[in-house]
Amino acid sequence: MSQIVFDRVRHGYRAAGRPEMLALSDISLSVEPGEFVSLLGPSGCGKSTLLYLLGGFVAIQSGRILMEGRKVTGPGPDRGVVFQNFALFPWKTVRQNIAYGLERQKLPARERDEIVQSFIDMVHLRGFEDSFPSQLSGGMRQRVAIARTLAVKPRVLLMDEPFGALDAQTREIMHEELLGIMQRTRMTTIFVTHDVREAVYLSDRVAVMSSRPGRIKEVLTIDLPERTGPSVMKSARANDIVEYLWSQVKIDAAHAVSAVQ
Amino acid sequence: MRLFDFCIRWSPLALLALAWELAPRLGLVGAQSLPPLSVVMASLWKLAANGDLLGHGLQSLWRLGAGLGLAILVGVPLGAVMATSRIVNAVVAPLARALYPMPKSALIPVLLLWLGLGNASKIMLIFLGCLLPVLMSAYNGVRGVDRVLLWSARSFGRGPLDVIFGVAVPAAMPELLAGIRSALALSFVLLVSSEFLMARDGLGYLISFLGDGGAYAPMFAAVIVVACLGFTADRLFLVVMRRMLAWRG
Ligand SMILES: Nc1ncnc2c1ncn2[C@@H]1O[C@H](COP(=O)(O)OP(=O)(O)OP(=O)(O)O)[C@@H](O)[C@H]1O
Ligand SMILES: [Mg+2]
Repeated sequence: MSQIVFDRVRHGYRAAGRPEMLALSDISLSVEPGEFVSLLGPSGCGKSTLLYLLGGFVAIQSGRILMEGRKVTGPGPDRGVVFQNFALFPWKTVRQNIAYGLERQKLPARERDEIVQSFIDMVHLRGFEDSFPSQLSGGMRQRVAIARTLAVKPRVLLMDEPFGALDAQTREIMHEELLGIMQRTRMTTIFVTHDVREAVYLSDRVAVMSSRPGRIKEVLTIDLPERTGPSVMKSARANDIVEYLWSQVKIDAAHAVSAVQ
Repeated sequence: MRLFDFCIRWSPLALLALAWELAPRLGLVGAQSLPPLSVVMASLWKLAANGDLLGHGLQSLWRLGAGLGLAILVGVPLGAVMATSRIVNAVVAPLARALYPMPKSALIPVLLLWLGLGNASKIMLIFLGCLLPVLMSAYNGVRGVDRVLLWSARSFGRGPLDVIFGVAVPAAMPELLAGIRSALALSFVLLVSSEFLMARDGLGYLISFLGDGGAYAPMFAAVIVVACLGFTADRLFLVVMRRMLAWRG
């Protein structure tokens, strides 16, 4: 059984005194357990909206979203979310942020501290336990956000352009860390990005979205050999896939721009 | 260098003190309407020594603390809940909007009539005066919180009260504390003006009592005490505020 099912999902935004703006139209997609699926598309095509609907933060207007067979009606710890701008609690330290999700679980304090420390170590933030987010670099903040979400052991991980704000070098390091985590946890992941190479490198499948209204126009299985490191991206096969996806996204980006003008 | 900075910083105050001392002594102003600073300080010493200052001061501080404390206790939760609940907002917002511009000192005669000369009338006035600024800052602060922070809390399984008081209010703290700071300043205004008009003790009463009796030097001394109290309270609040907002980096 698919773990996540989008079934003819449609969503429009209504602003006062304006006609409804259709953000998503007729989205259907199934994600299998353990799969890493990227949503790839130009800015404004509704990627975040789709994630918010699955997260249960925004009420669905028509269609269905099923999480492990049950309709999504609201947020829940089964779906861990890493938001586009991290959404860390700025008044909490690194340790307190990562512990936040665990506070609700009835754990002995000792055990909770150990879990928190293990996640701090996992994202290489030892020594920054008592720093506030404002004292961290963008990459470090992102790692705190990921650790905070992973610490509660969600069933699926939803990430909204998590590396969009990072420089190329940090981004590459984060890719390796993420792949490492994925190999260990085998967690089902939906990953939003508009970076084609990133999508190809990380994903089992890539869903290409078109904009206004956002729809899924193609789902491509990425059949690269086992990801042993960034070098897979240098293969001819990887290049072909990137070229192809890039051309698909470009058509829509151009459309989106000309539609605005 | 340190000493130099210190001198620069306090020189305006020192000049003011000097002018205060000299103006009446040189006959530029009547010594009756402005006694020299040294005379005022001697009265201050006497007022402090005979316990008057402490008694009236404690009475005033208690009214201020109680009124402002109540305003925070009521205003923060109410403002925060208003910002998140459409129903509560629909009930409270029109009331708040109507009362906001009203000068609260206009309530002094009414409160005197209802609550008399004791502590209750002053505490009530300060409470009413400070409630709206505190409530508005909590409301605006919580309204301005990034919804993604609230979503985050909910996705970790937190219920609505937990989201409001565990996330929205701390996130709104910068705006909230700024509101409380202006309420603190307002509470001194309300305290002293209400003690002028309806009290038998307190620093405001002391000032008007001494003034009415023509004891101008001690009256100025009491005014200085009130000014220093207000200044100190604001400084202390700033220190607490910086502590609480240390996370802003
Ligand atoms: N709260 C809102 N009210 C009205 N319109 C909105 C709202 N949120 C998003 N939209 C519109 O819906 C469309 C999709 O927005 P969304 O944020 O989902 O795009 P996105 O693909 O995540 O873009 P980006 O890559 O820039 O983050 C956009 O055209 C946007 O203008
Ligand atoms: Mg987005």
